[in-house]
Amino acid sequence: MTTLGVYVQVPFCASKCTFCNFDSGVVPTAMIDRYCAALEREIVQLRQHFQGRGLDPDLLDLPVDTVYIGGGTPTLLGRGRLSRIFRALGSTFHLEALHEWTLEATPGSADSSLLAWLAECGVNRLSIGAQSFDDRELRWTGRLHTAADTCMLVEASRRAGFRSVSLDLIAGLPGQTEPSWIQSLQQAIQLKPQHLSVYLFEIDEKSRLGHEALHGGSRYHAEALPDEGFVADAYEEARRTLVGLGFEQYEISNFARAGYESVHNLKYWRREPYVGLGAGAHSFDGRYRWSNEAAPEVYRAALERGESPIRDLRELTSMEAIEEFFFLGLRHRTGVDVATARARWGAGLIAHWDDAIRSLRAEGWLEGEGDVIRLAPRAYLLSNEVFQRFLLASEAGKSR
Amino acid sequence: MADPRFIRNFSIVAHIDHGKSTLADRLLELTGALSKREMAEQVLDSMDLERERGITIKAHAVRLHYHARDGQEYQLNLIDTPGHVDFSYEVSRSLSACEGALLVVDASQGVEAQTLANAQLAMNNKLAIIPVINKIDLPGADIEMTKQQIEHALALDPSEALLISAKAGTGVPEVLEAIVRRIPPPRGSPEAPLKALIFDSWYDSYRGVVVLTRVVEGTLRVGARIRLWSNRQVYEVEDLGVLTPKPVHVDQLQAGEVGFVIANIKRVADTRIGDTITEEERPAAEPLPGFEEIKPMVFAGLYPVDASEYENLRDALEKLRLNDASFFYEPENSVALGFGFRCGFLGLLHMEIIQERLEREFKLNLITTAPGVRFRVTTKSGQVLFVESPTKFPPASDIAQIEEPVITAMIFTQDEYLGPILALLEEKRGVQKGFEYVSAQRVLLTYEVPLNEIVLDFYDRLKSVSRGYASLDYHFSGYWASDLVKVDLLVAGEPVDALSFICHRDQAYGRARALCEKMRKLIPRQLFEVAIQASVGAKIIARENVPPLRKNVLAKCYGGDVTRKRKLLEKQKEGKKRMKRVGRVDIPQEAFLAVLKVSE
Repeated sequence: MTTLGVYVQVPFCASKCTFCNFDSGVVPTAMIDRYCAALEREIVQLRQHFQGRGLDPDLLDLPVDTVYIGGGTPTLLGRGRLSRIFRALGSTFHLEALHEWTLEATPGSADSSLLAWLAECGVNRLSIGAQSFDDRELRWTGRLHTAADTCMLVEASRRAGFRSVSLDLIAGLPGQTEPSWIQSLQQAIQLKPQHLSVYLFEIDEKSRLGHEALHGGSRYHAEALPDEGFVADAYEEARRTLVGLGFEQYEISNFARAGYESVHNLKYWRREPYVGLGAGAHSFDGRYRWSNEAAPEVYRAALERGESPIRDLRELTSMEAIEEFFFLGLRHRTGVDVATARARWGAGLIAHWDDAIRSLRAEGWLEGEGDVIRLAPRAYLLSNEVFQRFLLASEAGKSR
Repeated sequence: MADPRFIRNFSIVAHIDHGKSTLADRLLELTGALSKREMAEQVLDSMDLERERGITIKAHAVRLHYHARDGQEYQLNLIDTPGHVDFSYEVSRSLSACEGALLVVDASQGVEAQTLANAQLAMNNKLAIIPVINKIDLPGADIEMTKQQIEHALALDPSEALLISAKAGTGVPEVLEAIVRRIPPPRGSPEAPLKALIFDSWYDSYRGVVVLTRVVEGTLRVGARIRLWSNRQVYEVEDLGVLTPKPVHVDQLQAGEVGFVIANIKRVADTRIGDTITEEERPAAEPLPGFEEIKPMVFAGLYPVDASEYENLRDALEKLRLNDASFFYEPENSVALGFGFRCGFLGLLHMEIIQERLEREFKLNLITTAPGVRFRVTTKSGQVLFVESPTKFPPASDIAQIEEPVITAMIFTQDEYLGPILALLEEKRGVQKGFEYVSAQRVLLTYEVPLNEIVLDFYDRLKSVSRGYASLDYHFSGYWASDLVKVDLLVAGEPVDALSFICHRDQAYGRARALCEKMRKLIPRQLFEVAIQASVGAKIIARENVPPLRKNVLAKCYGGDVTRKRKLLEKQKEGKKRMKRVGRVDIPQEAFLAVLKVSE
């Protein structure tokens, strides 16, 4: 039976990290209040917005099995605002079969009474942005917490009774060294999380740190950024260690104890439907992809005028859908079954990808038996190079 | 009919930015040729590109009517000249259509290299030269120093110099008077057999080729059958006119006059600058002196980035050549770059102009290979070849001698920059021919330098070592035998023909190292280690490695934002498509330009 995932975006933080390439910011309390009111309104009026944009509102009748409240720093909202959002979710969605309810938490932003209350509400998974256990690395990237705060939050969340705790780590932060990375990794492991995400800092224009590094500046300790080789080694080190300890690497950057994979995140890779709520949130119903207005103030104003915040609504072509099937599905450890694609889109269309698959297999980037293909472990760090070769639609479009 | 006694034909010549165009504007304004309102600023520069670069690329001729203080009405023909060293032949032909020239010198800058080059051309054409010191109202103006330099560098009488400010209009009426009094009237008989000089031509899509001409002897009439001396082609004159600067029809142009001819000529290439027009029925006994075939001096390969644009590039080159017979092109095939064209230009600026017009007007995305020169190669079997592309060089073992074109360079500078300039000339294998103080602290250097060194990065280097306080002009002076070698570049074992270059044996190691290092920075990491090597013959003389790519991965899927992920993948894929694949390696466009700017 098809189920639905729900994502709620909280684009606020107590401070902006230098590595952040996400639309989130530090704003006054009054603005947070108005945003939350708009968010409630969006949730409650969702059905009308769907109809207004020609989307099938039946999607909203699917049983919801995962909710993910992310950010930003959702814990910043506090009990009052969160409870109103939860109530709104309950009024719009069928949450009876809710299986995984994740909330992102930043160390230092949640006390034990808030955690206890969240657990009581039904939140059963806490995703903690540890990022590093080296206090200098945390300070240099503008984080407001220390490694000790992270440990305290993990202990408190365990006492509160969450079923699963996940920790995020980032490889490639300024000042990071091999010993400091190993120490972060070891400390994270000692906290016995059920789930770990290992991200690699992306040097791009969207973050302050990335921008500085690209333009050769020295603010944000950009000159202390480790090189590509270090980041690749750090990732491999984490993989070896975690897999050695019995974690399963079920996706390029995610590791979990058996049974603790993030069901919500899997929906993205498996192209299962999800509805995103809040500024800049993304949605997919199996046919259409859309996103909400990204600027929180514009998003809020639209809802206050009673308008839909939906932007960039687009129906995928078959070619695009198939490309996604490959480049998203291959992120998962088990890969994809080409036979499934043939059954869904027809063998004739899927044959366009035969050459790419054959050559990637021959070059050793893909492995698997029969119709099943998956990334070879050596391809994880170079997965974008592999995925690019599955993009055929844009070329077909140009040659027309 | 104009009495030749009341005709004056003149040019204005100057170093760049010394105020030539401003003075021309003032003359037009004062003689009423154009009202201030009608006049776009600096009307004589017509193409956008010219305006942007502040230089005049094509010559024009404007007829002015001047009521002089002696009470007479004069016909003044102002013949505009290109202001750049690349076009010195065209300048020389334009000057030969005149009896006099205004030599404009900026009072705050003094005599510069182009001032000297232009003055020499004017003297060679036996023109009356009127020195004009401009910008006398600038705070930095030093009239005395400028006069000294006019005397020492140009051997002109500084007491005859006019002092003006073209911008403010000060002294400009005296310039008009001087033109009338100091420039001799044209000689030549309207009854003699026709001899008219072609000094410019362009293609007009409605009227065919428009030729600017100065009638030296005889009379040009509408309906007459004319013959072009160099190719013996015969045409019938359809229309004659003068530019005021608006075109005005006339029935005839007689000895001493300047104007345009339209004669159903289809190709600009048929109307060669410096050629003589005569009459079919009554031809002149001999042509006007000074005609030369224009020879391109600088060569480069032009390739479309996207192979499918090859046809468009060919069409664009054809169109440009319609109006510019001085550049040449022929198909060329490069292993690395695919199909393209070998093009020959008058000089570096000319090359840049063509390149920019192709990109701007024809929206082409081009790769230009390193500019080079035409070498004279004598093989062991005694054959003499002219080779302008490194890829066409015969094997080293077959070569008996290589000669390279040499230019005579004139450089004006302040003596405080002499040290680094002399070092640069030394590095560029220059041979000193002259060293002269033209005033206190101002030096004129005359050097012979291989042209191959000039095309590499000489301008940029000269500018940087002199902080912009050096001016350069040069002319071709012959061929030298040199110990030259061909350096090849190999990427992952594959030779990249477009990156081969010719240099002196002593420079090969340094340049090869510099190029390899640059390529290492420009070639993005690939999935495997890439060796970059430079070789002379079979011998590897430099090597660098590009380590393999370690990571290209998007870790996070921001709240299910698949579109962002797709865009990144598409962008990366698109980036690869813009590169050229040589063997297994993707090489970005900039890498092909790297060889342009390799210095030790």
